Amino acid sequence: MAQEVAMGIDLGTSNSSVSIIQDGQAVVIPNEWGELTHASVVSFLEDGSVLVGNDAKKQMCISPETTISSAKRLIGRYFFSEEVKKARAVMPYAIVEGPNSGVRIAVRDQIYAVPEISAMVLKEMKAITEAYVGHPVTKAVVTVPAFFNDNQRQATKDAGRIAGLDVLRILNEPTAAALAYGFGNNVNQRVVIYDLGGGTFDVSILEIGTDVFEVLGTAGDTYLGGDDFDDRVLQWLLAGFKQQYGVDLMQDRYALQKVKEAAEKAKNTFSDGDTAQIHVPLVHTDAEGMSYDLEATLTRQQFNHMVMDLVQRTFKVCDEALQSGRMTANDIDGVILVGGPTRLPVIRNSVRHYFQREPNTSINPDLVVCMGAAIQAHALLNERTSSFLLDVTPMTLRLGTVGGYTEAIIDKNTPIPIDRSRTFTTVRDGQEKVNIRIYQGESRMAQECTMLGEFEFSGLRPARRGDVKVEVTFEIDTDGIVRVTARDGETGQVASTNINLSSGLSESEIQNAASRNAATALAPHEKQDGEVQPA
Amino acid sequence: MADYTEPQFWPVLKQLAQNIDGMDYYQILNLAQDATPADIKGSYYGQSRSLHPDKFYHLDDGSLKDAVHKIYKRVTEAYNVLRDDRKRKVYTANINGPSRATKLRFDEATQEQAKEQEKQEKEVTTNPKAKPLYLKAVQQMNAGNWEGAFKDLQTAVMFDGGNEKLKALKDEVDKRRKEKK
Repeated sequence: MAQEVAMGIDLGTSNSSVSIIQDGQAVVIPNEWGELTHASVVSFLEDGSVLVGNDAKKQMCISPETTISSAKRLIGRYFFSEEVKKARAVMPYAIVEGPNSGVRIAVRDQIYAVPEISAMVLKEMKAITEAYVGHPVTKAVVTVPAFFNDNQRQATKDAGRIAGLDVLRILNEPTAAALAYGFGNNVNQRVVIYDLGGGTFDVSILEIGTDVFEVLGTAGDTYLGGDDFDDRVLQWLLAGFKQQYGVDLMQDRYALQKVKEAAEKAKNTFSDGDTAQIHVPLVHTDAEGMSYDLEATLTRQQFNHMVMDLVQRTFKVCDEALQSGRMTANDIDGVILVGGPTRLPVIRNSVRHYFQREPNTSINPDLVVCMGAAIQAHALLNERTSSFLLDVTPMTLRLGTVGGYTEAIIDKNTPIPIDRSRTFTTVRDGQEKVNIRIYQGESRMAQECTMLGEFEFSGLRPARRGDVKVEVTFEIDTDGIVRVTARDGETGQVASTNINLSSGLSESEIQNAASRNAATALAPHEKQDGEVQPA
Repeated sequence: MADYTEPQFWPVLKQLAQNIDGMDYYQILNLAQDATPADIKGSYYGQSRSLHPDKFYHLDDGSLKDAVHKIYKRVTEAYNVLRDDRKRKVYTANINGPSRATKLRFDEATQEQAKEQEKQEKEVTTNPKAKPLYLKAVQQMNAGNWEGAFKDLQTAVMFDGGNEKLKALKDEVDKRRKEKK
């Protein structure tokens, strides 16, 4: 019997990639043009098909309203969250409010939930793999930032289902990277994974033995990534243009996109260069028909100065991760860099300085996560699993109490899977149901935490108040996803559970989305000169 | 080491899942109550090696997977409590006490107990008159003024006579004070 193929997919904010195990090695799969990383950009074309990847990124200038980028920044968030507010201000596509304060994207007279956009990227990864191996593939491990909360993890899992995938595991990105590096021969090394992606930042500390990867602590910032570095350059360019010509390019979405692209390119220059020459021709045309170019020179020193506070923020997170594991930088045996932005010398130098050691970058920081995911996918499907992962939950799970307060149920950095039970007693005669709200976060104030949902347990047996005890079990599974169940403490009868007020999709919404996803064709990729790859 | 994914062990695992509610954390990790932190970690790794749900992922038997899941969740719970000295102390006292049967799992009440204990340990004195003197003495110790610290502690001991911790601290400071002379 042929070995079953399972994909490891790194679903990134800016770029995604996919890997499988071949002859015992993780192989990153190229698309038909040999590209290993694919922009997480989805462009809805006029003919109803979608273009995904690096070609779709080119559409960001040509058709900004129908080209969706950075969906990962929105996934699993509430419409009223800061991140969504920020995205609405800068993104050229329409972000609208859905049911239960969810986020939807309106494009070409259609409304899409955010997981549907991510599902298009996953569909592309699936297609790339299938073209490579020559048969259908459905099983996959999909990675998420370690600091993703339950809503974000659940939404990512939903995206997988919408794309027709059998999601074997939601795996934390830093943990995946550690798996790809392997180690294994040294006894109990303590390794820090410094993972700066396009939109998120994670730090995990792992103890790695011969066959075990134990996460000792994790911390992160899901509002900090390479995009923020681009944004600093962008703001600088916009301010400069405004000063020179008195024109605010922020108001011109087409121009803004062009300058954004130039800012990103300038940032990438500093991976090995010292000066970036920025030139955006004909960026603005005034009322008299006069056209202006945007021109600027940015030195590495200026750039470093612009982003220093962002770099500092990453080390605050490092402090937190070390503290949670009751360690100092001296207790660390190795540092691994993950994510494209870690190519910046300002990051490398700062990491070297903070940990007092040379960071390890021997595996391509853009590809290491999908390779680790492929290793885990392979291990799950095989009887002879040689290594195992012991991961933790990144945030404290909380129960809402009276007066807008919460109390902790499962602390952050607790190993998973785990469960914890609480008993609730009825407070009225003949009470038929119990409602509870659960949250994730580190504050006692409910307002400062993220609400995961309101659960309603109904069908309690009729009795006097205080006579019915409902035992509620909170479980965090191996995906880091929360499950809540309830049963009558005496009869053991399971109470029926309704989830209200959750930002997630209902079962029928997922089914409909899956049908729509299956019916949407992926557009072929064009080469630079416009030549289309023959099917 | 036995490979529990072999069918011959399945009935054993299902039985274990049923019995696990009657076991304490030491029994679950197969440890003596005086186990060292290294023993605890070693046993957690060992149990993970044979019982992590990922090892059973490829199997089809749903009830077996449920059993493994239940057992393994209790393994992580046991590790999470026993690796924390403070929680472990309270837990161990509880399971050796008269209400052992209701204290096999670390619950909110135990959590409160542990917190209270920590508070007490941190607080050298709760006596309203001795406390400000003690706090002042700590400041002086930090500044290296052993003579001043000693005087304050001497007075504090007068107010909170039965407090052994305070007395020990006073004696320690007295020693340092004399050394300096």
